[in-house]
Amino acid sequence: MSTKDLVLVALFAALIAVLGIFPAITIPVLLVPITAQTLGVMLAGSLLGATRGGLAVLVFLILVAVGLPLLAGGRGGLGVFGGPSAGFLIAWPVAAFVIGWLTERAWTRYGLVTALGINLFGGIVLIYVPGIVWLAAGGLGFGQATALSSAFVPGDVLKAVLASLVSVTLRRYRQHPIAEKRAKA
Amino acid sequence: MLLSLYIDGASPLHRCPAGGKLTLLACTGIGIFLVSDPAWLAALLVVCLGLIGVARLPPGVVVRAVLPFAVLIGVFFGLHALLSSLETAIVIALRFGVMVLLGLLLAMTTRLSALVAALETGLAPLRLVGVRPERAGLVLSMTIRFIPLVAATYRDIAAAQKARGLERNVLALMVPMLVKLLRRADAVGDALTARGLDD
Repeated sequence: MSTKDLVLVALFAALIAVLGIFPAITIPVLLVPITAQTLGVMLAGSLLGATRGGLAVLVFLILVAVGLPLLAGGRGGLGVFGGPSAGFLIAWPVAAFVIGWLTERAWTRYGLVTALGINLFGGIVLIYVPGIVWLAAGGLGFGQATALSSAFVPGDVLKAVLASLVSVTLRRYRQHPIAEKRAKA
Repeated sequence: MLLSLYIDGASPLHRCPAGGKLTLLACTGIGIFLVSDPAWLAALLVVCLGLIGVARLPPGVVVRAVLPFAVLIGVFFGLHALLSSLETAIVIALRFGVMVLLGLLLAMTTRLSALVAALETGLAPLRLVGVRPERAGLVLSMTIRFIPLVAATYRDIAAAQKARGLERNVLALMVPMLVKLLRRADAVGDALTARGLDD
C-alpha cells in the first residue's frame, strides 16, 4: 500500500461516517435505522476496489467499536456488535471488498447495467443474508427476521442505483483510484 | 462537530491505561454471550452503573448518550417478549445494555489519542502478516481528522448546488464531492511523502 492508498482508505472511512449524518430514519417497528451509510459502503468498493474499499469500511468499524458515535443516530461502541444489527455491520467490509473485486474485474466493460448488478449483489444480497441470519439466530426465527429486514430493501435498492450512477459517471475520471491502479500494473 | 465523547476527569477509571480498558471491554464483549442467567447480567449492569459513578461522569451527559440505544433496546425487548419468551427478552436487553454502558465508559474516560495509540500497540502482531502498525495507526488518526473535513466539504457542495437549484439532485452532490475527495487524497499523499512518510 502506498501512502496515497492509506489516505484514500482514511478519506472513504470518513465519508462513510459523514453519510451517517444524513437524517437517519428510525421507524419504531424496525430495529435497524435507515441510513445513507450503506451508500458509502457501495461507493468505497466501487471507487477504491477490493482491498482499499474493504479496508476503508474496516477502519470505520474499528472507530465505531472503540466508541466513536459514528453510526447513524449517534451510536457507537462495542455494544453495537452484539446488538440486533450486528450481522449487517459485520457484512459491510465483506460487501465493499466483493463490490470492489467485481468492479475491478469488470472494469473494461463497466457500464450502468454491470454497476447496478454488482452493487445490488454486494450491497443487498451480501449484507442482508448475514444480517438476517444474525437476527434469526437472536431468537426471532427466519420468517420474522426476513419480514423485518425486507422493509429496508426499497431504500437499499435506491442507494444501489445511486452508487451505480455515481461510479459510472466517475468511471472516466483521470484520477479514479481503480484506473490509476490499472495504469500502474 | 463533536467526535470524541471524552469527559475530562481524574478518577481511577480515567487513569487506567487505555490498552487495559480496551482489552477488558473486548473480553467482556465475548464473555457476556456465555452468560445467560438474568441475575448475573443484572448484577453486571449494576456494576456498570457503579463504575459510571466512580468515573464521576455527569448523569445528564450519560443519559443523552444512552438514548439513541434506548429505543433500539426497548423495541428489541418488546419483540422478543412477544415472539419468544420474556426471559430471552430480558437476557438480550440486559446484555445489550451492559455492552452499551461499558462502551460509553471507555469512550468517556479515554482520550481519542490514547485510544489510537492503544490500538496501534494492539495491532502489532499483524506485523507478521506484513501490516505495519504505525501505518495502521496513521490511517486511524487521519480518519478522525478527515471526518470534520469531509463534513465541511459536504456542506460547501450542498450549499453551492442549492444556489443552482439542485438541492434535490443527489448525483450533483455526490459526484463533485467524490472528485474533491480524490483530489485531496493526492494532495495529502504528496504532503505525507514530502514529510518522509513514503512507501
